[in-house]
Amino acid sequence: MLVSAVQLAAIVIGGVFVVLATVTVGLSTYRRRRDRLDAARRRTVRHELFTRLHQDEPDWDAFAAGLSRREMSNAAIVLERLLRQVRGDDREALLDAARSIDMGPRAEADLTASNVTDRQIALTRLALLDHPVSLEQVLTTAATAPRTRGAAARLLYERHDEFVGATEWGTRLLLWGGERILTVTGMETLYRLNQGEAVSILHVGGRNIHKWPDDLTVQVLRVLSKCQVTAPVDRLDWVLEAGAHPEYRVREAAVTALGTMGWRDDIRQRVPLATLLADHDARVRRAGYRMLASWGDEEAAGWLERSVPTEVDPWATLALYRGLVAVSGPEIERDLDLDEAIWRWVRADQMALGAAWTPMGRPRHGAGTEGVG
Amino acid sequence: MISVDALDGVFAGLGVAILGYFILLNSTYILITLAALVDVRSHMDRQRYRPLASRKGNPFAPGVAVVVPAYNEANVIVESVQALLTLEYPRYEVLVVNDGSTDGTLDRLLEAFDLQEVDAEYPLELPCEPVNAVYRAPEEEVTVIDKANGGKSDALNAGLFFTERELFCAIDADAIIEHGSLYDAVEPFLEHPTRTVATGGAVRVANGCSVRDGVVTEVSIPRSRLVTMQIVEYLRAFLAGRIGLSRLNSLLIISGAFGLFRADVLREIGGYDTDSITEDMEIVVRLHRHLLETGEPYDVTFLPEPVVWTEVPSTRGQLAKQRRRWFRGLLYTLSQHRDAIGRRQYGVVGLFALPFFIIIEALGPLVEGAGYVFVPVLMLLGMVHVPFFTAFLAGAILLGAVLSGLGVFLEVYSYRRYERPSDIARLLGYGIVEAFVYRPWKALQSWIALVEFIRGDTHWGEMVREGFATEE
Repeated sequence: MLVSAVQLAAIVIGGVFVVLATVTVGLSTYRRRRDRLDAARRRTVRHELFTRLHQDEPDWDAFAAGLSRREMSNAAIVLERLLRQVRGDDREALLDAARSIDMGPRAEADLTASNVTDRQIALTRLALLDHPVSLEQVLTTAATAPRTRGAAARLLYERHDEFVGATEWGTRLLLWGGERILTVTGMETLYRLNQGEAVSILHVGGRNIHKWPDDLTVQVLRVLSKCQVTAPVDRLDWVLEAGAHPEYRVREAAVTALGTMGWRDDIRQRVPLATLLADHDARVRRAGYRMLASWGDEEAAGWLERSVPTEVDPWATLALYRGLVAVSGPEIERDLDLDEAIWRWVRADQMALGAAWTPMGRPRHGAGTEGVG
Repeated sequence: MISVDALDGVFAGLGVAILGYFILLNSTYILITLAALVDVRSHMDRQRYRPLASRKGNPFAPGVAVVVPAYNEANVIVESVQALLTLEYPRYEVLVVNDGSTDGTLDRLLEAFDLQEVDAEYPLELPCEPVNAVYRAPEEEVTVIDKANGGKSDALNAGLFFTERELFCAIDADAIIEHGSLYDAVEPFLEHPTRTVATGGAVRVANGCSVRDGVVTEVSIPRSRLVTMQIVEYLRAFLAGRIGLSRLNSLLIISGAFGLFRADVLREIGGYDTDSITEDMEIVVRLHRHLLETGEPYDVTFLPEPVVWTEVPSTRGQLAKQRRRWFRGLLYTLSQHRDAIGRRQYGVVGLFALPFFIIIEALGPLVEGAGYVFVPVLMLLGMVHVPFFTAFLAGAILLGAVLSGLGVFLEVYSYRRYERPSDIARLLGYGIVEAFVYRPWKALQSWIALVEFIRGDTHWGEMVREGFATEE
């Protein structure tokens, strides 16, 4: 009985292997063939596109009429890639080509596709095209699944001239409900939407920060640190409060964000420097020293100098001394009771790096002292 | 005198125990593979969406120190560093730790990158062998720490405790990272900035591939049977095993060939254990324990898409040394962390991951090896029911082939670095063949490694590299 069962099991497993091997080799053959054919189709489409692109009358309708169904979908892929890169007159011509193959209406139809990824792709294509799309359509699609919100916000950013309140809507979509963290693309889109003036972030943050998970708070503060902030200082209350958050990474991100706003005296006056520079976590103090280094004036130098006797963490001391060199130069006249070994290192390191040295890192990739952002 | 009936009873009991173990082992592998299939399916669907954001200019990319421990790598070090400098990532430095090389590795670097010695002693404590000098390249993002020889973990510690970057990326000097892989590996740190502490990428076999300017330009399977067996193994381990373990929150290894960590957290736990010969596993287990003990929510994630290509041993002697080291390292790590095994305090790591590594990864090859010896003996003594054993053996071999086949299937279904159907068929064939020669040989190496471990052998064994097929 047992023997028969084991024999049967062996036969079944053998059968599974045969099926698996057949499916695997079959799938590999099919995909390789499909990829080769598609690559050839894309080469043909690309050639045809570039040939017509520089003609006085490209006759895109004739271009579309000559395409098979499979070529049509490959043409859409090629056009999508080109539209991501090309600007100017050529882009206008490519938009005509896209129109000729109904890329816009097809993408619009896909906004109601059952698969979430298809809806994201449709939103991305619409972001690249000039096919009319209403705010209501964008918001309705965004409401269907959290994953679509980033693509919807990107559409609003890419075509912001066509929508009233694109920045506000885009920001609200990305930070919708405050339960979900941002994707990397979401962060970038939030930044693009708000880089000119971060009114929307400040508005949403002020109302919702208490609901956000720590990850999201850090992400938004990092975005804010790259944006222009000209709003009244009271709009920044929640950022200042984040400097006292229990999670050190939130405090660190808040300090970094405040650091980039240091050109505004009214904000500087509100930054609780004494508290931040006495933070029990050395990583927050390091962010504080970098902030002061970026401010780079006498007041900042004063705060850095006053921190010399109290700083005990060697990593933070490194950041502090780099800040001092950045603000006051390598030769400090005042007697500061510096740790000689660290001071010597910071100055020698600067010499070795030569022109590449900056207090916030090297110019190209940002080496040296830095944290996030 | 033991009666024949009693002996029969013992063997019957042993048979049931082995059958039970076999079912447990394969059920676990199937569970992990199914978890991987679910993960890959969802991943592949999401991968179709290419967002509009730019990767190159991402202003939020955290700084990364790519740390390359180098011991006698004069032949490859300059090309490796040059290749690393072309990675698609906006903020990183390459930090080479010359670990007391005697073959001119440092001279090559000094010359190639116009390095300037920092004219001061590094002021902070570096928990490693003495540092002779630190060099900076004014024109490139390259730093070299020249130190006395102390081994790979020691060299990694030098880089870890030196860098001021937020993230620490450990790679092997001869590894080839695909251009976008560093960015891929960083993404979880951006998406979960307070939770993510480590990410690891997939390691693939570079033997037989063509390489140009530090980029793998053509992926092929070499003629060597030994290397092809390892390709099947790597596909099974990385595409099925690690994706599945990661999904079950049980990832205990991030390959030393390519792993990314939050530098401050690694420093908090004291860096790499210089007594360990598989430092990549030991540090991840310690990381889990530390974070579970402190109660901080965290993620250790395996990502199949960031890929690093590495040369695997192409001779039996080299492979034997490597596998014995891996097995001794596994036993060392498990013995170091035995007090966490089965403890609820350590959650899924204590209750599933560590027991999995003991029962499946450590005991598995030993039980298998014992079977290769005892079964023929018992057959000679007429104590094995031949039809049962034959069916069982066939089932075991085919089940192993199915698990390998699933690794190959995942490759075809998802990442497709191996595109030729003939290569795929060959890999599937090796999934069966490995049961006859390769697995018994590996089981033997595990037994030898066990003896070495008991004797306290901690040597690494020198890896001889043939180098990649480089296109001109």
